[in-house]
Amino acid sequence: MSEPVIEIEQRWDIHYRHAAGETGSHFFRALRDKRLLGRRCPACRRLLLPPRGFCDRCFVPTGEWVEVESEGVLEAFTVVAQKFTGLPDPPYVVAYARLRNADTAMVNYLRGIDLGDVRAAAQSLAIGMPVRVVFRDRPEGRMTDFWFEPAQR
Amino acid sequence: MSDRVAVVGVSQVGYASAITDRNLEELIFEAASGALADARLAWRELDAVVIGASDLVDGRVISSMVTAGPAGGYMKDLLAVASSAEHAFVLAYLRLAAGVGDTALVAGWSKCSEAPIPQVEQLSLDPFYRRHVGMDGLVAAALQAAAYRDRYRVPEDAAARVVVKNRANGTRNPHAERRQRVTADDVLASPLVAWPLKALETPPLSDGACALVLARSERAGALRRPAAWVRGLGWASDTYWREPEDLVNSRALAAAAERAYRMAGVQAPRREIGVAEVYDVTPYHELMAYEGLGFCGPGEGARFVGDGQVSVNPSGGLLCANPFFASGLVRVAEAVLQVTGRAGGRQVEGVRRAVAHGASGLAGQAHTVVVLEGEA
Amino acid sequence: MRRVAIVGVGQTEHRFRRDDVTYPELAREAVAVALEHAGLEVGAIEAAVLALAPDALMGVAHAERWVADALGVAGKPFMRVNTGGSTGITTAHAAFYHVASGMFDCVLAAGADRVGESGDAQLVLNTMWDVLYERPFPLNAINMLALQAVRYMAKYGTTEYHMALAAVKNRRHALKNPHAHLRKEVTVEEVLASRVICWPIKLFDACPQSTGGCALVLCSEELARRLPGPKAWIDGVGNCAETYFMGDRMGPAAEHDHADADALAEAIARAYRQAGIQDPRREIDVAELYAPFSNIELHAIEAARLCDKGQAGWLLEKGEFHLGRRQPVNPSGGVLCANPIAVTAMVRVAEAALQVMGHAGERQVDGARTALATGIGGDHQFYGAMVLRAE
Repeated sequence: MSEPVIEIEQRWDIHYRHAAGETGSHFFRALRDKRLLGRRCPACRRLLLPPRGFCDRCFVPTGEWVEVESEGVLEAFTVVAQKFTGLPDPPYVVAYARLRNADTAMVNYLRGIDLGDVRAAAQSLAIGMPVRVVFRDRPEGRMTDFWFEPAQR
Repeated sequence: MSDRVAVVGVSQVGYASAITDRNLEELIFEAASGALADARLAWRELDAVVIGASDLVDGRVISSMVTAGPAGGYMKDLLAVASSAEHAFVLAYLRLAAGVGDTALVAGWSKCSEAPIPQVEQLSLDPFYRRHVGMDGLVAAALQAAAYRDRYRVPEDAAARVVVKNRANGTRNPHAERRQRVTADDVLASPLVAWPLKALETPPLSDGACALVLARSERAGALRRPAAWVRGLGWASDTYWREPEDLVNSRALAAAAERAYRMAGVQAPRREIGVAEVYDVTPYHELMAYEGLGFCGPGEGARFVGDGQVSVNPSGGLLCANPFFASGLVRVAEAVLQVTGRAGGRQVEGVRRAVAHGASGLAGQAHTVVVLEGEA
Repeated sequence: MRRVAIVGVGQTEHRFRRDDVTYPELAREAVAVALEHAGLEVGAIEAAVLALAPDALMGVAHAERWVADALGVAGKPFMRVNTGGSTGITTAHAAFYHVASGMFDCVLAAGADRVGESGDAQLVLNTMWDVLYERPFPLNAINMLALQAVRYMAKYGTTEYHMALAAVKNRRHALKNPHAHLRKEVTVEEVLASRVICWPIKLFDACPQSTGGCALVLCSEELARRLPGPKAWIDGVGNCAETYFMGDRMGPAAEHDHADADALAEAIARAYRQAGIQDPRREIDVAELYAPFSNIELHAIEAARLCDKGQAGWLLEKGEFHLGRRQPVNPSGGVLCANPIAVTAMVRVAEAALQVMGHAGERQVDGARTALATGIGGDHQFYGAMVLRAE
């Protein structure tokens, strides 16, 4: 039973086209104007960012659109030091920030900090730290149009 | 035991070739909140949620994650089934029959317009012996159709008559995607897809969502809604490696029907069942379902088309709307509407008992049969 | 409700790869062990539930179809459950409902995984996240829980040292578990000095990628009474689902904090309620808690109400939760020492069952009569719990 085993290499290449729906499309269009729009739940009054067509906590459709401010606080972060196949080269910071009038935090990269030493970079960050949204010059209506940076107090 | 669980709420959203104004979650939310509204049950009072989610159809790994919330899952006791949406119905039933909780919501969906369904089916072939064959769900169905025709010398017009019947039924179903009649000549003249299947003998691939609310007996009574009692339930898998002779007269369907009928006390299906919503992924599969469900003997399917005693697929079946992963659950929803007298323009008169049949897997590897009964 | 018992438990060894068998063969291996443990033939199985997490990690879409033959379910009721990391325990729940409903007397819960065969596990797992808003960022199963660690440390004043204590304990326990994948002791210093993956999670804070199988045989009371071996009675089951968006678990408007595992606490509370457990610190003899990273074990211990919120790290420092102490947690070595994703949470149930059966070998907790098993799936979203008792 010491015959060598044979390996069959397989690769999946499978494509999807996901409709953003009217809610998501409205948000992405506003991004082109460097505006972040949240949607408020009429029951719990939370302003949800990213916006959704319904509130899963109250199980009702969401209502009014509200523009979200561009400054807020860091709610969670990690400094990624390992390379994962197909994901960006490290180091980078994945962060959740809650913008001032929003009730939920949103994910993006945190940039504008020295990542030369991963552990030191992590120590320089703290939950509650002020951050701001920075847009690229020509937004295309994508989440990668903007990122977070530390803000001055 | 079999009188303890009823379906008390139904909602269907769609079905259409592409729904783009709502994303997947919003589609599911609409179906789930619609079913709760139909049951007059407040979401906060709902005990459990069971969803049927396919990663590959939804284009998300662990697609139950994004779909749990819109199905009403937040802080609920939630289970997610990945083999078919009708299995989610089965599991919700089992949970209630066990006496755990009083109510459960079941949801299934597909957005076929967003996914390469044939490729998804082909990727379900094992990588060693079969993956290299260009086989998807339709090709596998064609293999069965050819074997069935050959074994029983089925006349070509039998399949066409099934299509004509179901397409006519679909004109009365506001949820149907295909709502135009066709003639037998149209069917026979439509282009060949995979022999013996012609284009009009294959189903559309639809977008849509379907949700049901189930309740245990006392709670079902308190809701004062038209109740469809789950009298019988059977489900079974066949082997993955089937011999050619196994392609016809599925042993999984026979086992599922046998269990469901035994539980429901059905002895003469043709006399005791008023409506059957069956998994007509092709008209040949409807013929095979007549036999598997005991409406006629093996090989007699062609003669049963248009039978006066059992109305089959008054909704128009998959041939008129096919939200892929949810299509089996849709059969249950339609059977519920029939036995509660709420099927609108497609209502069959005087239906007390209906049977719903769902299938999944290449060449119908898995089958589920549900017997539903309205109030006396 | 009808009483249900686990009468057979089967596990393969968990390793990085098993090139000698295919996926169906691996699952069958675990089933054979469970049937032998139960003293039953495969023909006694009336229905089966498969635990299989992401299709893409297996590389076969709807691989439940492929594995059906190996489980011997042709012509029998069979379904598959997938709730990500908690799949193993939600599968056990589904099998429990099969029997508790009165429809079946003998049901199999089984599965296997081969994470080591997928070269792109974290890329695959990135597609868990919302396609519109979150998938453009390199979220994965590791950094999503690094986010938790950061919030937990900020909330309770713990440090990486407390995370390390959980890793050290579990690695020590795994030395006694022949099925464990990682069976090498580590020190606190080694954990702290191991390379950073996603700060504060370091290599030795993290689970391995494992290949392995697991199976359980569940029986009705009537049938169980006719079998000679010991039983693990399923006295409580509970599930609870959190929000999908992790950002909804942060800030003053959040109902629960991503630092904590309040939905896990709720799932466990549901199981405790069913089992009539009022004081878990007194009534739970051993716990197998799903924790793929050291930081997760801390709040899982708290969610099980084995101590107050924020206290687990300090108690670990005092040597609590080790084998030999009053309430051992993860005597098997836990997920930190083996993570065959689809069945990882079933292994928690299997290990808890072995403990109350008195069949846990060197890792046996003396006199264990009541055990808790948990599972966590999705982005810390799907939580499951089960309480098992001896006669």
